[in-house]
Amino acid sequence: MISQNHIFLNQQCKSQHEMFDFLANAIVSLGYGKNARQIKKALIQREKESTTGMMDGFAIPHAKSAAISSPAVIVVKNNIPLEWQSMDGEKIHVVIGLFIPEDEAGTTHLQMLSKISRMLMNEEKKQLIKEAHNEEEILSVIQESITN
Amino acid sequence: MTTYKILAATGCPTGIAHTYMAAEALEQAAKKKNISIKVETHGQVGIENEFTEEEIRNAEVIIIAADKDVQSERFAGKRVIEVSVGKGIKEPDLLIEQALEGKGIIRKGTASQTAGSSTETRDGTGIGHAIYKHLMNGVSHMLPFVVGGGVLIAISFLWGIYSAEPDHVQYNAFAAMLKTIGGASMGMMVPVLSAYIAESIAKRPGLVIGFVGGLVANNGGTGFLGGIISGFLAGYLIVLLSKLFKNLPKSLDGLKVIFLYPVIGVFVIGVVMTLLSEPMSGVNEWMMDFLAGFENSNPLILGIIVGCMSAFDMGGPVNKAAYVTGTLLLAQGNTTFMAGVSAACIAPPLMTTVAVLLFKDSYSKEDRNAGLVNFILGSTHITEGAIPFAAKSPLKNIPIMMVGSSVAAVLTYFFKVQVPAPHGGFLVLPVVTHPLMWILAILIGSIIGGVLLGIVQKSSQKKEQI
Repeated sequence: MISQNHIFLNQQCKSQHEMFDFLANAIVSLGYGKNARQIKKALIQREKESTTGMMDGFAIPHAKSAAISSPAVIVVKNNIPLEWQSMDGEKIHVVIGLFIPEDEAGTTHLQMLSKISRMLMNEEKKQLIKEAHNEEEILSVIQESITN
Repeated sequence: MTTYKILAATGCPTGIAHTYMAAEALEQAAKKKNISIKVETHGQVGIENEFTEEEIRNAEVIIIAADKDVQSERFAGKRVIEVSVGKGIKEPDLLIEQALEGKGIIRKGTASQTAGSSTETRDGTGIGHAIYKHLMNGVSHMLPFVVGGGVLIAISFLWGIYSAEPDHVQYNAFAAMLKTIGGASMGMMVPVLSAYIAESIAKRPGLVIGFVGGLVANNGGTGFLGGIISGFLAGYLIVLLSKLFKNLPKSLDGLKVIFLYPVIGVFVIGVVMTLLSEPMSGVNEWMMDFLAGFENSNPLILGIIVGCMSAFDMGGPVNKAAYVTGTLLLAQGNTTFMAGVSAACIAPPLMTTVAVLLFKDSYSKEDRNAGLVNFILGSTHITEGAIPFAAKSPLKNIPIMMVGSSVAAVLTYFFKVQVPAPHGGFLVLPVVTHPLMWILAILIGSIIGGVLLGIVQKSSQKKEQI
């Protein structure tokens, strides 16, 4: 559900919508889902309920959809700050997308995702991700959080 | 068990991210101030880190940071600060401060009302959904055992259906080993089903009792229906025990988990399942007598009875009665009776294949794959492949499978098919009289059953979405 090729650095998405397109297409090309349009729709739907833009430039969009076949995490560092109506009004630099199948019955994956969410409340970890220069560094921060 | 000064419940509609971020934020904020806090999360997984009634009673103040119902009626009579989940993430320090300053509103209602509420009814989504959730937990853990074991047994039949019998000409050591391994995996099926139903209800203490109950049920020949019963009994037994032991001193908490629950639980579930298993051999014999009485009646009635029995508990006492009667008659030279039994045993897994092929969107990926594997299991007379599907919704799916199997058996008798082998499914086709008609009969039964399964699955899925 997370590996090095789930991490994308130096992306150039110009808007939240472009970012959603990027995430949905990435999920499909990584083999976690079938219908990018439906996955994007689920992301937008969730965003409508309340913003997933958190603090310090992090956003954590998530989608639960039948078009997703197994749980996955995608991390994108974008070079262009994105408007996301975040909690502290800051623009978003780092996007951590969580993707979950409609009928995910097991709890293990969901608990892993919840640990990633918790990680985003940890100043130290956030700093590490912000400063990371390559995929391995980000991956190791996330994996450490999941296994703890 | 420690007493917490502050309790906090967090929850958001999707229950994937915000719930946990708010939990983490509040925990950190409390830690900074050296305040004891326990945070209960209402997420996609369900309720985690749930408060006990005692913890609620002893807490000074309760913070609710949620955009969904967190069963706040439990907090009647307590001082409660209620905010959105976003506020919990953004301003955790402020919330903790407010909590310590004595802010908040005393929740209406009396505390005594909530004290009597039980764990079962606490699940906000209702008892039906709770039962479904427990069943699903059992089934999803059981499924790999069925697939792994079933496929190995099916492969062993490639050396001939008697390849595991040392005295037979078809005997092959490797095939015999495959069959033994497959059998071991299949033998785990009922205990695992029972254990994880219980685990879903009562966490780890339930798991232990569920395993033992399932094993006793399995050895007692109660089939998977016995496993379901034992799973629920085991789970609720632990819930009951935890209520009985509620007033024991806290110093005994460790003893409860490592000693009292397992010893008392294993004893009670063992006795109950043993007593339940005992009449099973009686049921089995009675069914065999009953069946023998119909042997010479018309093909329609015989087919319906054989079909219903074979699909009823798939490996349980009722199914075995039909199967053993078939093999006994086979030994006497009656090859007609067995043809119907085989058809009725082959059909249920094939129905699931048909269902997942025709109603792709209504099944999860896991189910779809299991349905496809069931084509192999059904074709080799391994009825157990259908159990995970049957167990998910026994009241709906078992009657449907009985209908499909009955059709397959009735047609088999009408077509006057004769099957001289007691097992092996389509692998014994070369020795079957009218093999094509037999396949036709089974396919018709499977398609009817499969379409019905799919329709029911589709409609129940729709209901869930509403």
